[in-house]
Amino acid sequence: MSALPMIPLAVGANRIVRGVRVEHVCGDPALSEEMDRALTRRIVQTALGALQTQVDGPTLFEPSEGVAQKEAVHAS
Amino acid sequence: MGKISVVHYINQFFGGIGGEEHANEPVQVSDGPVGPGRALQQALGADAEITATIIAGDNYFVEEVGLASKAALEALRRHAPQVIVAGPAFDAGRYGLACAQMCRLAQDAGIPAVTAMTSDNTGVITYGADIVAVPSGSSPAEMQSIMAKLAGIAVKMGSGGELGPADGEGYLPRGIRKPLVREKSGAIRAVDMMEARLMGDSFTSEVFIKQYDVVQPSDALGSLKEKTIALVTSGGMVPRGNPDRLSNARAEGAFRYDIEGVRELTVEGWESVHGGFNTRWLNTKDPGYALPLRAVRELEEEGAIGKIHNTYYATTGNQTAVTAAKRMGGEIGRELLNQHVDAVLLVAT
Amino acid sequence: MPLEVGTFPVREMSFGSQTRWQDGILEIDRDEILGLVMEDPQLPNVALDIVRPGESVRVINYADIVEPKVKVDGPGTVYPGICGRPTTRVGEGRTHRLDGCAVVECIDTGGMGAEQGSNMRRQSGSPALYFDMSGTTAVTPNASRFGLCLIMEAPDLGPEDRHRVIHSATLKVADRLAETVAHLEAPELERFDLTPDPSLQGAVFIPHLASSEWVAGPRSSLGFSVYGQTRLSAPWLLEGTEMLDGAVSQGRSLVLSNNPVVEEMCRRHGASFNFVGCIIQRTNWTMQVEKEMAAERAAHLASRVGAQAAIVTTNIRGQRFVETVLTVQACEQAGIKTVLLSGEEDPEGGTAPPFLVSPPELVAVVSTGTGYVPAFPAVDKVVGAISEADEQWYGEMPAIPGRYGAYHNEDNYGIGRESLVDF
Repeated sequence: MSALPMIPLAVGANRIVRGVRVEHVCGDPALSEEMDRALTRRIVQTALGALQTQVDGPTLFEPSEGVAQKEAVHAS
Repeated sequence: MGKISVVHYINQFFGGIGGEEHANEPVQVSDGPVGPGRALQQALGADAEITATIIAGDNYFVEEVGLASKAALEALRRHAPQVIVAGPAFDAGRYGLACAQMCRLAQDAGIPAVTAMTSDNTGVITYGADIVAVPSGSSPAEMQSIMAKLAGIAVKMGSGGELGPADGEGYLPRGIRKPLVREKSGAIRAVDMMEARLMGDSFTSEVFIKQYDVVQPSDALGSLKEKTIALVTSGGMVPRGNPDRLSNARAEGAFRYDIEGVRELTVEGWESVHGGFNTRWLNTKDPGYALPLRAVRELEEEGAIGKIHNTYYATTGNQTAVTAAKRMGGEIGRELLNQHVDAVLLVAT
Repeated sequence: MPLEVGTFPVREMSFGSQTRWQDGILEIDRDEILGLVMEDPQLPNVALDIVRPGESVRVINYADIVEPKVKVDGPGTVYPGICGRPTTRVGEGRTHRLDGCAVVECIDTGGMGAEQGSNMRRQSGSPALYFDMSGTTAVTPNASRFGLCLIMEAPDLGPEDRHRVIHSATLKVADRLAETVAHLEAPELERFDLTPDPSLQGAVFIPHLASSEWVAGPRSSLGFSVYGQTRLSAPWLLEGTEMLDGAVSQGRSLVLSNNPVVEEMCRRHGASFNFVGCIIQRTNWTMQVEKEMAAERAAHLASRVGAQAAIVTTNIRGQRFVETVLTVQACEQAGIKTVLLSGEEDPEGGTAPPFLVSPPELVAVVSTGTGYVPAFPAVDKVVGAISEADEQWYGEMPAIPGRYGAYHNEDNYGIGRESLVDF
């Protein structure tokens, strides 16, 4: 989970989730607490989704609105 | 000085045995040069003599590694050459692989070796860091010129000489970089190189770009409901007071901290000691930004994952040496495997 | 308008009865200089010392090193914008400089306590604590120059005030020394006229300069500055001659204002290419997309000023190298042929690649080596402490491995000839 995906992509990590900023990778203190926690959850869910996704090499996963739905499908 | 004795390695095709159908030919040894070995001998001139030629089928050498190595070593012991020349393999992948293996075998036995093949031959891709390989094109039409290059390097190595830099000697860089004082200052060289590019003149970059190792991706997990997930961070996140004195830079290892029953990391209980970025948000608002325990606990409670591993790992990813990082990663990975952890969430800073 | 640079070599420096340059000898009236500096009542304690190339001397506590320069014609002052100096654009008219000498700013933080001292160094982006003047460890550009060490006890002030007091003092001394040659005829005179020749292609210099904003905020006066601006901003377009007048300074003032790439590009302007500008690119963005945007802006700016080629450098690597490499990529994609001039990482016996990230656009690279420094021998004299220097500084010290973070001998602009080569 990295705010600077260029680095793990180059180093060869195979599953990478884009974080927010180096100083706060898994969230955003500029948001309200509610939105910040929702963002953290989305980032973590994207990471879990990545673990369940087959990849051929270094792949970047973007936290997006669609993750929550995807998670529901996989967790069943 | 007496003649340098050379042993030449070639495959079944160049050895005159036959084509693809003879790719499983076992190792045989002939006296003197065979086939293209004659061109090599010519290039070597009076300085060196090919005393024997080892011939083997490409498949045999690569697949019957044990038997092939034994036979080849036996031949090397008998002929006691001062240097081995393998190939050239041009763009033939299995031949290139066999040549590379032959070189490594000889080097392990204390005999210097040189080969030639295309820079993207499997032999180079797999063993490039270990062998001295002259880059060639795909066509055997350049046999003469490649043999000339091989001969030059072979004579140098065979007489106990040290090889100079890759670019000067004409072999493919092996990812070994050594200090060198150049003739002109870096600034002058930079402006010279820029001018060359503007004029369309040739130039040689001073850095042969070497990438990191390729790591095969692990297979995707199915459902995570029964799985154990571990958390790792390079954000320097440690119990407040930094009891183990994790360094703020150039860390050599990671520390393990118990999070059994811990719902979230609090500002009171935890801190980041990372020296490479502003840790204000981690240390006054939410350490979870560098280790999202709260969010993963929620998902654990909802049954989306089986459980969170009781221990998390913390290091500081600031100016870390590649060697240290590789070692740490390997140690953590092996430990987690032994404890039946299925996956890791690694927060990188 | 062109810039003429008059160079006055310093071949010997000593304390004497007056402050004067004559025939290569710089004489310094110690009392006069001390008096000048002590005019500021906020400086608790000051000392002066001279270090010479080849002496068995180690200089400690050093925070910056400034070459004495003075504008004798044309607008502005040298080292504009910092410490309250005018921000008027420089780079035109005539500037006189003392070559082979510099004022070495030493800040004795002994009274501050170790942690506060190290925080102070971090805030101001200070280089390595020490350098040697002789032997195999005399590897910095400082070692080949006569140094007037201005040793100041750190005043008990907040970081901004402290910097203002200390660096103003350094500039005052540098100004005073340069004044000795302001009205003399220069033994060497070089003329730089960067008017473009329409028949030639354009080239830019793109140095990446880390901003201290992440630790000191956007309005801070601390750290590497462009006309006094240290914030993480969009790129600044400067003429090469502005850099020669010290428009980019602090932290490594000597090297920044005597940048060998800038000097060489100025000299070759009009011959094989037009030196169409310096794009000062700030780094320390902490989001990938911000870095990408900054790189695109630099490439766009380079294109607009007519560059077909660029030399790119960085001044701190680590994650800032991502910015540097993105700039190279953006330039190449815009059709600007780029050369990266940079130090590289320690090969670690073949395990580590030369750069943090190496995209395919890195086709033209000049390497200044890893910055490795061998073990430091014992020295006869240590300069930089207000009273007696701690004994440990006189003794042997360990070698410094070459790699990002080991700042002792970073050659970001290709001053030296050290490099690495592939085997």
